[in-house]
Amino acid sequence: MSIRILCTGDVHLGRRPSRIPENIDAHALGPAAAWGLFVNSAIELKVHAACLTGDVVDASNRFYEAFSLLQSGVQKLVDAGIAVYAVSGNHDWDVLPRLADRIPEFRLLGRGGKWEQTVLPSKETPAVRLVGWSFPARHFSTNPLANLDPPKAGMATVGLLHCDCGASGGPYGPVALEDLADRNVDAWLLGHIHKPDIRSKSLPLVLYPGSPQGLNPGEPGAHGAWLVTIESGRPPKADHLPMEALRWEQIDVPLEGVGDEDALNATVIDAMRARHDEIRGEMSYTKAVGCRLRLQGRTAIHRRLASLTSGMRTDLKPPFDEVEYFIEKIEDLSRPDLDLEDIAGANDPAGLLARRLLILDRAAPQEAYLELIRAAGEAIHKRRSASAFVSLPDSTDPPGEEEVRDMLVSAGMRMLDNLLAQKESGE
Amino acid sequence: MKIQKLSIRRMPGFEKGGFDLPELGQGLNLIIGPNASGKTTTCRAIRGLLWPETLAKCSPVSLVGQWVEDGQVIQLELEGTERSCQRDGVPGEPPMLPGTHLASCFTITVDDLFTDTDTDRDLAGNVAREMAGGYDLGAIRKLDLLKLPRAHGKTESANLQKARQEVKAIQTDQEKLRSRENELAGLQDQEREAKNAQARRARIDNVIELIDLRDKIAQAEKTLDAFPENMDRLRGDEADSLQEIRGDLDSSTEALESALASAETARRQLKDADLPEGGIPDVRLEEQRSHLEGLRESERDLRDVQRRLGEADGKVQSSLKALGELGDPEKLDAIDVAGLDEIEAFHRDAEHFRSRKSALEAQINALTEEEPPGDVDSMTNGIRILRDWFQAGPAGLPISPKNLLALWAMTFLMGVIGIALAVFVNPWWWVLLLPAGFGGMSVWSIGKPASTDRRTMLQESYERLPLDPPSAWDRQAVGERLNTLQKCLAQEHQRQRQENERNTRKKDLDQLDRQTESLGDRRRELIERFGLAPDTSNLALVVLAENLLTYRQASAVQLACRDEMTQYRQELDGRLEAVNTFLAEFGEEACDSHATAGPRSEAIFKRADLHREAGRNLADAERNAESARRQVTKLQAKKAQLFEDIGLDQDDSAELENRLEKLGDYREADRNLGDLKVREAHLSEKLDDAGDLTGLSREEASAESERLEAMAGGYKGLVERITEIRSLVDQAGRATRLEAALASVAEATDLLRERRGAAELAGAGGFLLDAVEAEHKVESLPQVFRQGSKWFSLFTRGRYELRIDDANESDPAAFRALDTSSGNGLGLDELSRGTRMQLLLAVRLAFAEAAERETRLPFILDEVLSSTDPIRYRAVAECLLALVQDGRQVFYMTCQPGDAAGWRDIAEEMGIADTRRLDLADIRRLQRAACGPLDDSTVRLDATPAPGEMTLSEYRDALNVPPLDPSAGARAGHVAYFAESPEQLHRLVRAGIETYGQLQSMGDHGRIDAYVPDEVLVRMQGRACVLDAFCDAWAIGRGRAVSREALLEAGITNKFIDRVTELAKDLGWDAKGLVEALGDGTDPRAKRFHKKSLATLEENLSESGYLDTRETLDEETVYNRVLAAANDFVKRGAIDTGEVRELFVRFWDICTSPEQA
Repeated sequence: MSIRILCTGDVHLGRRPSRIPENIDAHALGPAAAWGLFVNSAIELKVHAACLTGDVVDASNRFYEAFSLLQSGVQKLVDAGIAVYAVSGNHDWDVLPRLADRIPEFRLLGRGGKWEQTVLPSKETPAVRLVGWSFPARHFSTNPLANLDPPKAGMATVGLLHCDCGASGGPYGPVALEDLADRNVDAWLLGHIHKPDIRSKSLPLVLYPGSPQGLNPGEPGAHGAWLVTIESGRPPKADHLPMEALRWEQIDVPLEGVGDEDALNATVIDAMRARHDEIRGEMSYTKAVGCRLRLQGRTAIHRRLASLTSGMRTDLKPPFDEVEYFIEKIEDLSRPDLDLEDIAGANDPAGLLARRLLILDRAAPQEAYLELIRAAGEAIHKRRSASAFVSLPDSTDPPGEEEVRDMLVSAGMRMLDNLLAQKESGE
Repeated sequence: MKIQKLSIRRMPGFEKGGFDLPELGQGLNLIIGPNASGKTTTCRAIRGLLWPETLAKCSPVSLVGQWVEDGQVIQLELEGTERSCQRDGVPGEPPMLPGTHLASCFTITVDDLFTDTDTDRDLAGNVAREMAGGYDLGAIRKLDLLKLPRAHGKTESANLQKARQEVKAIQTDQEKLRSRENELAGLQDQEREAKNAQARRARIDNVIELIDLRDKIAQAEKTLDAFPENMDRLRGDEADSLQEIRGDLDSSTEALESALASAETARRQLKDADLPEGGIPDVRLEEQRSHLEGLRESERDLRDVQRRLGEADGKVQSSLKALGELGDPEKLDAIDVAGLDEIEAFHRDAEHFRSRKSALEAQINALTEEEPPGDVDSMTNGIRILRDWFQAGPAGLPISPKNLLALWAMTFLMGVIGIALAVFVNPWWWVLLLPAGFGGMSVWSIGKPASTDRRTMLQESYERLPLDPPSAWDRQAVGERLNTLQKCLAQEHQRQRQENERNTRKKDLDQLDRQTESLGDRRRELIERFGLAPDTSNLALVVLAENLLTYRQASAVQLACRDEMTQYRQELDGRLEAVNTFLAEFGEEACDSHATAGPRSEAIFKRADLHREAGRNLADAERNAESARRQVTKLQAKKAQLFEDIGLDQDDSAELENRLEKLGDYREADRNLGDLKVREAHLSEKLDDAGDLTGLSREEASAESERLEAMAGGYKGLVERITEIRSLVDQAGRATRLEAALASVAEATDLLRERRGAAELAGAGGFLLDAVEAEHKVESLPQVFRQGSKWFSLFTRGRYELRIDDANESDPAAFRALDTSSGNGLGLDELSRGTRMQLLLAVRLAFAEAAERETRLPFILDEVLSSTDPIRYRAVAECLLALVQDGRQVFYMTCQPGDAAGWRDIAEEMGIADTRRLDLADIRRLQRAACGPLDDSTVRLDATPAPGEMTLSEYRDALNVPPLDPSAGARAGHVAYFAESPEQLHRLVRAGIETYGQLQSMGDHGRIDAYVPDEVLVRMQGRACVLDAFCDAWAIGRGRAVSREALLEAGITNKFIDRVTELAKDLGWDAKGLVEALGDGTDPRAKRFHKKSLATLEENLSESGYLDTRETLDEETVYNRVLAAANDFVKRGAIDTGEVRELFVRFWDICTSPEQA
């Protein structure tokens, strides 16, 4: 016999994905939908327990809208006879206690930042012990494992913790991976990191279940819940169950050989279709896929890309197997099909520009490269801190070296392309 | 190449005699002369000798100039447009010179510099083309990548702010709701307490009510005891009942009496009817009525049959009369009916034959008279022959005789050839005779004429017919004849059809005549049969038949009527007998008709009715009398019972009335007591478990009630508040407003980030382009431009540098001056007269130098420094004298002797001895114009006060150094802020170098070392770096000071500019304060300033850096930034951190001083 636990975290109920086409109901594809799938899956799978590893609701919307969704979902699980265990994270540290007060069957472990343990009520063997610790406040800068020393219990132990594993500091419960070992815990179910990740497969199992759904285009790939199976005499096993309604993907589109708009459109659709073929098997519940296209490679149409792709975001929405694909953003990382070395040989503006691009490409000579980065960084920083953008939180942060380099290369390539076009038209 | 002599023999203005300039100097030549003395002519003459084209439109022209180049004497002579050249007295080639378009670069007049000439545009265009390297960098700057709208990101920023405000508003609402929700527990406790107090107070109120009830019960019982006895037995309607009984009693008595009277009346009527006691049975009466009706009917039937008999008798008599001699009834009866039918049939047939005969006769008469028959066969044959004649056509050959002859020839030739070939070549050629034979036969048959003409044959055939021939045998006559024949044939056919029809009608008429004869036989037979006269007409026969039929019908009716009369009379007699029997029984006399029997019977009927009515009335009256008697008895008993029931003596109506008056009060008191007891019982039951409460006195209970009322008073409000909060919480839980608003914030943030990314990319691109352009300009900067820029900077003491505007669609390339203090670029039109002159002079000189090949030409300047201040005059003169030092011949012409003195002084300062002064007034023996003494140099610099013993700070004050403008940066800062000693400052100021921008520009052109040593310059640069860093940091959150121009550029219209400028001035040119004041609108100068205009102004001021909404930096942050910026200079030892700190404190104090504020 085995104990099966369905686990998730960082749902961030109360958020809604943005940059969604108007024809798609963003609320219906948001974390609320993922939470609904989690609840229904737990009931369908008849798991012994559902575990939540914190940040189930988003701090910005935690009191009512998200809380209501969480409460109804938990109540549904409880009504279905599924035990629900949770630890609070930095987002919902003051919300989950309220829920625990309202629904007695909902067990919040480690309330107030004090480790707590309990045994999963099951008639089946093996018995499983749960230990957990909840954020007592929005920030917690010390290692929460410092006070954990559960005795050996003669049964499998599963730890629930919301923490920043691998961080040496910070306000979100910094924990070293090594700290999780030697705690008499067989499996750690962690929260805080949105990307699903098994940090350690061997004892103990260290699993970040991640968000059940990517919250924004920066969280691409498969998301979902994890089914953790505990059997006597065997290490805990974790299986990923994709269950997001909306999925984000970053798709590289190679533009070599693309010579006109039709070929560009065909290449983009081919790239999207190829990705669809790759991920088709992971999309049982997926209704829409938001794609961030990254145009790559050397292309003869580099100069026209901006105009050629201007309408793509609104016009190109191919459905594959009833999954609606839309383009969230198009990043142009391509280059014009030019020989910088050759162009840099001239003393005209194009040559001078090409020389700078070569310096950026090679990061050499280092002194010239660094001076270029520094001076450009100031120019960029000036733009960044312009009054129109002061409302952005990082408006005063200076741009990083790589960021400056990328922008210089991107702008430089486009200018060079246009400069040479002047010559071509002149000839 | 230097000019030694110049002879102006003739020139416009000098037509009658010119002048000579002998022994010109090899270095500087100062040519002085009053206006119209020939200075400009001299200038044009030299130019004309070198570039004759420049005098092409002038006349007369006669010039001679002697030049020396590399020891060779060159004489140039110009007559009209013809130029001749001699080298060392021998005709030779003229010297190689730059193009004519550059002539004005060597010979520069003041007019050249103040007139907008094409030369300057050409020069600028040349430079621009050379600098561009074939690329249009301006077009690159216009790419979407680099050229962002002025309001780039503003809309997205505003949207983000709006979205955040929406989130904030929702979160504020939720916070408020949270506060209220947090109150919920307390409210629920209060609600429970209030609810308990409310319940306890209700019970206390019950106790008080019980006490009140019991008091009221005691009082009610007392009230009831005061009423008479048996009041409870009263129902209240006794008076009405008694009244009713009495009324009913009276009515019953009256009814009894009335019934008795009715009985008496009925008895009298019975007697008057005089009928047996039982009256007449209805059966008898009905029988009598039936007999009477039968009697009346029998009498009517009898009268009817008698009338019909009379009519039948009349008809019989008239029929007999009409029959006349046949009027013997016995004989008439013997005639059978079939005979009459035969007469009828005879008459019908006779009429039919007659009418038919008339019709046939009319038809025969209608047909035309008989005509003799025509010869139909001849006419038919004639028509056919004539038609054939038409079809036969005229006679002739089918082929012409000429063609027929040719055919014969061919056939013959073929035959001859066939025979020849067969004989001489091969016997097989006999075969060729076959086609020749066939051909011959064919030609024979074609050519053979017809043996007989067909038309002639037809004509002959026709003429054999007994018909008239055509008038001629041509087509027209034959056609007419054919038509005539066809008409005749048609008439003959019509005549034959009529003949046939006439014959048919005649046959029918004959047949009818035969039938008429047989009808006569029938007539004779009928006459015989009925015995009529033989001449009896057919009509008489018919009349006879009709009369006979009438007689026989009337006779039959007569017989039937007589039988009916007998029957009706028997019935009448029987009915009379029955009627009379009835009349006799009831005392009436007998009758013989219905007329008498009816009234008598009716009298008996009325007596019977009276008897019946009276009997019925008597029975009713007796029954009513008995009923009334019983009612009277019953009512009397009822009245007695009424009094007995209420306990009163019989008929004690007064007491009854008395009690009834009190009954209402009694009942009210009784009901009240009952109610009180019920309520008392109910309350007692409710308070069974009240325990201690029931023992409370009224006062104790009231006090407790008041206490609890105060506690329970807020219950309803609490419930409402709790319900409202729960409802709001529930609504908030089901809403998605905040989620949507947060998504809007995320989206707006993303969009703003995208805009910022575009701006940053534009920044990166702009940076690259600036760097490339700057490097390219330096790298590819034409020598001529570099030289011009250097001279311009030197001329203006570093105040300006030369720039060039690239040509665009609307404007050609043009020179501009960059103000090194403000960083502003100024077009030629925007420059002062002197600065414009200096710019163009610098450019021309540079071009002149650049254009020279091997031959170095003299520079001739005609009063070009007339508008120049002494400092710049000196600067220009120093530069030109440097050229003289370098071996160039320079001419400067002026009307001001002071100018010449100035040149002389500077030349002496520079150690130039080769200075020649020529006075045209002397040369031309003109009257000298009034002018100052030659010693009074106009270029003598104003005496800037020397610092003497003053400290740097004191000297700065003495020079009235303008305050530091933190928004303008170091380049606009006075050199006093950077100089290290008063002497150094004096030296700079005296040379006209007042700002750091000038100093920097002079340094860039390597001409600052005369005023500032290198090591000092580096330290000054370090201080400038500190000031720049300070200004940058200070500007954050403050923006730059606005100006009238800035406000105009930002969109303030002319209508508002004056008062807005005044307002801005009062606000210390603070953009932020100005925007607030305009938005506030309280200042009268801000009135009627629209919000939309204000938004535009704010946006434009932000865009151009006048308005900065960021937080200002604190002192420490500013210092740290300054320190970081100066790090390089600190490392190089040009400045130490102590001095950085000191400068920072000084700048900070200046900027934060009350005066500055």
